[in-house]
Amino acid sequence: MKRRSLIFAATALVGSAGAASAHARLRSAVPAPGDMLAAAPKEVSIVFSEALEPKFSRIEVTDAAGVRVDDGAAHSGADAKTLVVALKPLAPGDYKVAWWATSVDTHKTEGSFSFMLHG
Amino acid sequence: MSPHPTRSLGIAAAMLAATALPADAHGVAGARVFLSTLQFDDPAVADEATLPTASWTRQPASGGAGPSNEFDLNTSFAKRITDSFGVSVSVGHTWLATMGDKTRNGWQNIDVGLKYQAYVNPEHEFMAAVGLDREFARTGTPTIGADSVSTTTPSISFGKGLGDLPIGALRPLAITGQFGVAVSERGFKVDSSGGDNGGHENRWIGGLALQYSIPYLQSQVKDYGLPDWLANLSPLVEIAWSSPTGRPSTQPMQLLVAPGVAYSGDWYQLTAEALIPANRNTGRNLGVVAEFHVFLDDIFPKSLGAPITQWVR
Repeated sequence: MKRRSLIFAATALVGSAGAASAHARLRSAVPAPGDMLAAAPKEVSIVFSEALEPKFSRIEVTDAAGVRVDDGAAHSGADAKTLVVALKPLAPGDYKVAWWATSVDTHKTEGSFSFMLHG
Repeated sequence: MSPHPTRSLGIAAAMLAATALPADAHGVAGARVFLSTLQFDDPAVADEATLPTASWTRQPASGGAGPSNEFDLNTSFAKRITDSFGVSVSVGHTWLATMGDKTRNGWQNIDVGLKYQAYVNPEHEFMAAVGLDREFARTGTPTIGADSVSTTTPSISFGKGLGDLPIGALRPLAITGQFGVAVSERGFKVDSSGGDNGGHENRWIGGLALQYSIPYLQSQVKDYGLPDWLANLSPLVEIAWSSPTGRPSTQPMQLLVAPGVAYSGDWYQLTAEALIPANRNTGRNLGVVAEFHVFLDDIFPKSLGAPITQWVR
């Protein structure tokens, strides 16, 4: 039964260590994935599940022709879990937001989503 | 012997000399995170552990013995040596309660695997791995069915996310699979009197899983504002299969269908599935299986969860 005890001890150990950092996953964004907007947003803001290294994280926003419409420099937002990039004035159309995040424990994640701006 | 013939498919792997992208942890290919499946091995090399996998199956009466309830508790530990190459070990304990007979329990044979992440394509959410798994005979308890013949299983596994599809509602779909051949160290032979040598035939083994990621739907396609508990669920259905490569054989084709659901936390995955035999050779009763799976790279990113080659840098 010694081996079973080891299993339960390992479970307890892992459980107590659960507060450690992990992969940064997208929790929410403004504009949100799939949003259809009536007014042009001034920025894209993404909240992640983990604190980020902003120097190694970025957001790129492109229009339907693939032209960048962000100002290029993503920065931390209200807290270390939020990444923000300012936008140039947007015309009506479809936009793609691509992001690359490096959490403070150096795990890398990426993703993308779209939103639409009505005329 | 395990009630799920393809579970021993492997945690496995072998080293190739091919070039490959370094694998990110536990099944990440671009925006896709492949689930850890219960009936066969997923396509990722990772630092992870199952603590534990618990299952219950009911077996019909066999010969003079009445119907039995089988409870299994398994645990496995997988460790990356390099970014793309890892080893794993699995152990399990079985309780077998047979009506009209005493309850028996004992250890299953020890499984050791090697796995190499041969290819990762983040843009198209694809990954593939090759594995080599070895079940060591006579390391378990014979009275609960632990095999006396070792088996070696080379296999390939893959995962493909369907994020390329133009239909948004289908983009959260992903398929993972594993195919291999279980090679017995003692082939099955029958003599002229009908007696056999106690060996096993070689068997083709395979598994497929279709999974629908609500986290992917929420973050990549359309944020429906779902509550957290729902936004982290992924329904899935697994199919596991094995069949003899030739004759004679001890068991004909076996086919198992396992529908279920997985909850993905930041550092763990909880999964529960029903076990549905798809033919009579597999069984006649439903079973259930549940797993608590932890990702060590998220919990101990700079020690136990990092590849061993990074420990000395």
